[in-house]
Parts: sequence; structure tokens; C-alpha cells
Amino acid sequence: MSEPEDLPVLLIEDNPDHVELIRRAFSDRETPVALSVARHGEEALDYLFRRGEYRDPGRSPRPRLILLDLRLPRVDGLEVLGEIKSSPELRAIPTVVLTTSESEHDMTRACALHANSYLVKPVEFDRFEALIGSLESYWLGLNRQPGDGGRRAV
Amino acid sequence: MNAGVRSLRTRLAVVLATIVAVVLLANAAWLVLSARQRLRGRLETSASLFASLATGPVCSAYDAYFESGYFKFRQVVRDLLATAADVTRLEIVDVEGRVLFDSARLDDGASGGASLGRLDPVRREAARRLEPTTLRGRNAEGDSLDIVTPWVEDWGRHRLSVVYHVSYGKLNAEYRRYARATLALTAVSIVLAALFGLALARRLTRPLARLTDGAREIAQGRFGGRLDVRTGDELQTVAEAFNEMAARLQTTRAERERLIGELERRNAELERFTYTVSHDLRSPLVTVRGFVDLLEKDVAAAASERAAADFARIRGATSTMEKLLRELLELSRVGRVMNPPERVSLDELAQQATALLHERLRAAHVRVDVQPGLGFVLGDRTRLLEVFQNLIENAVKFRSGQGEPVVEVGSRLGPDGPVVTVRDNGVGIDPRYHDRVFALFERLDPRVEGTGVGLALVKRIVEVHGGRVWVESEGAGQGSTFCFSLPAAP
Repeated sequence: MSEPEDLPVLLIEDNPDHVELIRRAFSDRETPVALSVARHGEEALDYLFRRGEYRDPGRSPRPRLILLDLRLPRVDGLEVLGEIKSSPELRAIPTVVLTTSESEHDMTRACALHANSYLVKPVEFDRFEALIGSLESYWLGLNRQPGDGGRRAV
Repeated sequence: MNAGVRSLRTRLAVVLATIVAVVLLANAAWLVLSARQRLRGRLETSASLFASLATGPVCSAYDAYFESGYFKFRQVVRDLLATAADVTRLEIVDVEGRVLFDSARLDDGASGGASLGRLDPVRREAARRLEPTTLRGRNAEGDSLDIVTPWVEDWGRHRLSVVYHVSYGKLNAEYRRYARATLALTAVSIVLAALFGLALARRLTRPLARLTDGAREIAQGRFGGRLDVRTGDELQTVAEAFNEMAARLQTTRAERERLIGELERRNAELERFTYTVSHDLRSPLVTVRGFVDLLEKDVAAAASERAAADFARIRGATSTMEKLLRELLELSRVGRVMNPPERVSLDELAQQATALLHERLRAAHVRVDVQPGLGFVLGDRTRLLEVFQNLIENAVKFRSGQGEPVVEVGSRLGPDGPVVTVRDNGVGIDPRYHDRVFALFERLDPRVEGTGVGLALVKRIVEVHGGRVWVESEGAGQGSTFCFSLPAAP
């Protein structure tokens, strides 16, 4: 799975079932994705700022895309988002909120913190798959970002 | 001190000084005017008396000496005039009004008598009468008074009258001195009254200024200050009423703040609840549906191994959902549905909780030590049992992988009475998260099963019983001690 051309994606998600669903949805797509999972906000920040067990940059490649759940243990998803977007090094990384919360408050806050997109997890798996598919083709396919090096998915 | 009170003080002083000034001035005017009246009256009386006494000797002397011994006559007139300071001049006239002698021309001698002329008609008329006549008029020096007195000889013969000219000059001078002294005294009194008025006004308004300052304090939200006004009058009553009001306001505000705090806590909890309904309850649903859909595909592809795993996930998600709903219901019942309070032995409860958890404790190889002497409280037995159950369960969940897991239930004496402690040698909690562990749906470790309701439930139960709950832990790997204190039963 971790071949050199796999695109690194960081998934910040505490529910292992959802991790599995997202993993499977990605596995059906054509873009090879190297999915790293952080199970709480603190772990996500350790990964992104290369602290603790992620001190080795080999273990924490810069993700091309961050998928962020909001309700996380320890450090809340919105806090993680704030940290990412206030770091000059990280703020260019597309950060997509992927959550079950449809709360107006969360959307407003996420928007204010410059989330690149706000997506609500659909209940039906077909739509879940379609959503991951759109995510992949847009953010990993069409979207260009600084530091791409001209490398693009199919 | 402030402008409002200052102007009130000035007004009061001005009013006081004005009243005093008006009274004193009226008094002075009355004194001066009545003195003038009195002095004139006295002058006129003495002049009349002089006139009636002097007329006889003057006229006799005129008859006897005017022609033959003017020197003697002149002496008599001089002596007489010297006895009456206010009578400046006298004239001797006959009944026809011809002036026979004028003391103003005393030194002219007897020869000048013929050229002295006649009196004016009014005086001529008075000279004819047999009674003394007083004539008031005005001349160049101001008010004038002439007294015309007839000289009635024996058998009623009336040949001569004497006209006395009375001067007010001396009287006026005396009167002016008196008036000046009175006015000076009045002016001094007014100044003194004004100063006294100012002092009095200051004295009267000082407590008022304190009242004002106190009111301003309250207006700015500081209810702590009290006014100490002991004037023994209405101002003290006002100050006392004021203090009472401040005390009431203070109580009201404290009560309001308590209610607001309570409301804010409830609101935050409600917000969390809403959040959970929109997120946490949705989450297992996403899992269930996701894996059911996947299963369909798996079954179609006959991938039976994956199918079994998917089934497990579905089961897990549904039971998570069920547990969430049950615990939410439980939490909502605390404080709403209560058993009647009874005297409960905490020792008994701890033992009972351990017994109820027996299976789980054995499976996890956790030993629970209960030290006796936890005391008694008044409360809902079932709920308090849940406190022990949840705390012990929590300790079991967060046991560390190393060493023999031990939970110790004991007590110690805190500053507010006995504190029950549930100590474990588990994973411990970073001090940063000590407050968050009791929040509803807060889960610090996603790897540990649970819904994040247990400790919230403990907190709710303890608080409903009027107690307090907190956690002590040095950090990760150091174990944790959950502590709670409850009001002791009598």
C-alpha cells in the first residue's frame, strides 16, 4: 500500500468503524492512497507537528489531504483545525471536515477557521462511497496546491 | 463630594443668611425709625417745657431792662438760651406780629428793635393766640420747629409772645450716630449669620454627601459598602433604609448570579446533549448502515471471512447505540426522579458495588480493597450505589497493562469534612484534562470502550446530593484518585 507514488492522506477519526468504512471506500478508487489515521486530536497534532512518536518525518509524511472529524477525544477537531490553519507550514494543506454533525454551530466555526470544505457523513454506504469518490477526484485529482511538483493523480 | 450636594449646601446657606439678613435689617430699621420718633418727641417735650418756663422771665426782663439796661437783658437771654441746647433762637413779638427783639441779633442792642420787621402771617396768627402754638415746617437746614408762646400777664393781659426756634441739628447728629452704630452692628450680625449658615449647611449636607457617594457605589455595582450616618434624624433613617436596600441588592445579585451560573451549566449540558444527538447517535448509525451495505456486496462476492467481521461491527454499533440511549435516559433521570432520602452507610455501598461488579473484576483480574469507616450520608441509596459502581468500573477500564491492578476505596479528612477516595494504579490522567473527564460524552481515550456518560453521571449524582467530586492524578502512568465529599448524615 505504501508504494512511493501513493498519495499520503491523514484521517483524523476516533471511531474505528468509520476508519474502516473510509478505508474501504478509498480502496475501491483508482488513486492509490496511503491513509494515516490519528485517533484523537493530540495524536493528529503530534503527527502534523512531528512530535512524540511521529518525530521521524518518514513516519509522518506531509499529507496531500486532511480528513478531519470534529468530535474527538482530548483535543477537539475544531482546535486541530485552528492549529493547522494558523501554522504557516500547514495551512496550505486542504483540510476537509468529515463529520456526522449537522450542527449549524460546527459549520460556522469550521468556516471561520478556514476549513476547505465541510462534509456530513451520509448514512447510506453508496452515497458514502460516492462522497469519498468525489473527494478523491477533486482534492487529489483536480485540485492543485503549492509543492505538488507537477505530480497529479490520473 | 460632588456638585449636586455642593449646590444644595450653597442654596441652604444662602437661604439661611438671607432670612437672617432680612430679619436683622427689619429690626435695625425699626430701631432706627423708632429712635428718631422717640428723640424728636423728647426734644419737642423739653422744648415746650422750656418755652413755657422761659417765656415769663424773658418777657419780664424785656419789660424791665430792654430799654434801660440792655446789657442785663442780654445776659438774661443768653443764660436762658444756654440752658436749652436745642433752642437756637428766640424772638419777642407783640400781638400784631411785629418783632421787638431777635436773639440772633442780640449784639445789635436795643436800637435795632424797630428795624426787625414782622412775622409771616402764620406766625402772626399764632402770636395773637393765648395758647402756645407749635409750628412744624421746613427750612434750609431740614425740618424745623417753632414754638410760639404767649406771655399772659396778671389779669390776662397779653401784649407779648415769644417765638422759639428749635433746631433738630444736634438731634439729627445724635440720631445719625445711633443709626450708624445700629447698621454696623446689623452688618456684622449678617456676616456672622452667613458664616454660621454656611457651617450649618455643611454640617447638614455632609451625611447627604455620604449618601450620594454610597448610592453611586451601588450604581457602579459595588454592594459591599455600608453607610455610617448617625445624625439621629431623618438622614439616619434614609441611610438605614439605604443600607437595607444595598443588603437586599447584594443578596438579590448573589442569587441572580447563582441562578445564571446554574442556567449556564444547564445550557452547556443541553448544548452537549444536542450535539450528541446530532453526532454521537448518528455515528453508530453510519457504521450500521455502512457495513450492512458492504455486507450485501461481500455476500454477493461470497467473501465470508469479511462478512463475519462486518457482522461484528454492526452488532457493536447497535449495542453502542443501545447503551448510549440507556445511559442518556439514566442521566436525565438523576435529579428528576429521586428515591426518598435515607441514612446510608457508605461502607455498605462500597461493598455492595464490589459485589455487583464481581464478574467484571474477576475477568480483568482487578482487586478492590475497601477500608471501613467511610461514614454515613443522607441520600438516595440507589444513586449513591451507582457512584461507587461507576468509579470502580472506571478504574477497571483504565487499568494499566503493567502490574496487578488494585482499586482502593478509602477516606480522608478534607477541609470541608470527610472525603471518600477511589484510588487506582491505572493509566492516570494528564492534569490538563482533570476538568474534562466529568463532562458529558467526554472520552479521553478512543481505544477504551465507553460512551462518556459514566463520570458525568457520577458528577450529577454527587452534585444533586449537595456534594463535590474531583480527580487527582499526577499524570499519565501515575494512577488516579477520584474523590468526592458529601454532607454527612446527622
